[in-house]
Amino acid sequence: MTDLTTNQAVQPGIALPSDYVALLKPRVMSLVVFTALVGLVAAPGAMHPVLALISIFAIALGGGAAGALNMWFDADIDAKMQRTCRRPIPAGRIGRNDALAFGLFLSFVSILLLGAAANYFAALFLAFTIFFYVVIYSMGLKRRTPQNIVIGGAAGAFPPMIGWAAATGSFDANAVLLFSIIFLWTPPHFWALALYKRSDYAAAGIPMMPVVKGAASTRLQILVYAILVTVLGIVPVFTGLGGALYAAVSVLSGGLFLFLAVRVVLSRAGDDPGPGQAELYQVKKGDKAARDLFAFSIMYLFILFGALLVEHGTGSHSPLPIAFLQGLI
Amino acid sequence: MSEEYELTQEQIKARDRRSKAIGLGLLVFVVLVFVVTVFRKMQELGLEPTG
Repeated sequence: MTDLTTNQAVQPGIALPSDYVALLKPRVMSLVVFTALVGLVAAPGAMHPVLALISIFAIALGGGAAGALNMWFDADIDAKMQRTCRRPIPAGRIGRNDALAFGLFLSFVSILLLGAAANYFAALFLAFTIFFYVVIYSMGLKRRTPQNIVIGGAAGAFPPMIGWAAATGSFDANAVLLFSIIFLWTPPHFWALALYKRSDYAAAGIPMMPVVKGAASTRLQILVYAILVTVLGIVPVFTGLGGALYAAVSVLSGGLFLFLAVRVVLSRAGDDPGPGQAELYQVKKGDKAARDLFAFSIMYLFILFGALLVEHGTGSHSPLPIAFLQGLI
Repeated sequence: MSEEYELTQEQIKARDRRSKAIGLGLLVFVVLVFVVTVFRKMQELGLEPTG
């Protein structure tokens, strides 16, 4: 970030409510809401449904606030990237200071609301998550190291733990397991995107893995993380968190995830450092395997967590018998 | 002393929509705090099951 006070390029007074909604990164918010909901529903504690709904709303608001603060800080690099240059701040519809105030205000409201609806342990953890995303990831890691999204991925992995904490007031091994799945899922997800948006990141000076270490190294690391997340994705079956449906879903979708990761390794995705396409899912020739993995990785997480939601949300969850699991090992 | 200038129609419309959104947001917040307070009090008094 170069200038905290830049408001000169802003056209005064034209921002619409929808521009402020865009500041919240609705697409990221939907993942936050979903994973937090799964954490809350899968946790052993019981919450009144109305308070649970308000808690999820508060977590979503906190996630949105973190998004707004991220856009405030990253406005300079957003302006340089095709994918992000139409966001409200670089497009001149919202001033940087306005985005900062909006993000801070929503952070405060979301933490307060979660504390009131659930408990202050969960609220403090939400505050820490916003801090981690904005200060540790956006300000600290993103522009300094190719490991930015590996470490920073923790911020996106915290929501199921916040949901769990909202329901129980504490964590246990299964909460950490949900965190770990998203944590290990993040690198292959973002590096697949970075492979086919490589020129965008290079232009903005962000040291994403393909920019710093090259496409071949990134493709290999994607495979390593894909193997790790696929294996870890099956572990909830053995801890009792996932039942028969989850077992089937995690094996099948994990297999497809691995297949697509192998396809990326065998491809030449990211080799051409030339300018890419502006739209999120548009790719130039040779990058299709990376785009496919990126797209499926989102679905993979939804499928995995969706199975837990169905099992725990409908009361149909029953852990597989120990003898059966021992037979598998 | 502040400089005065006339807002364009587009700015006036945008301002109205922002004002309405802020009003709605505040209303939602007040309702949520009220609902949370009622449910927590009911739980404290044992009038409502925990889930």
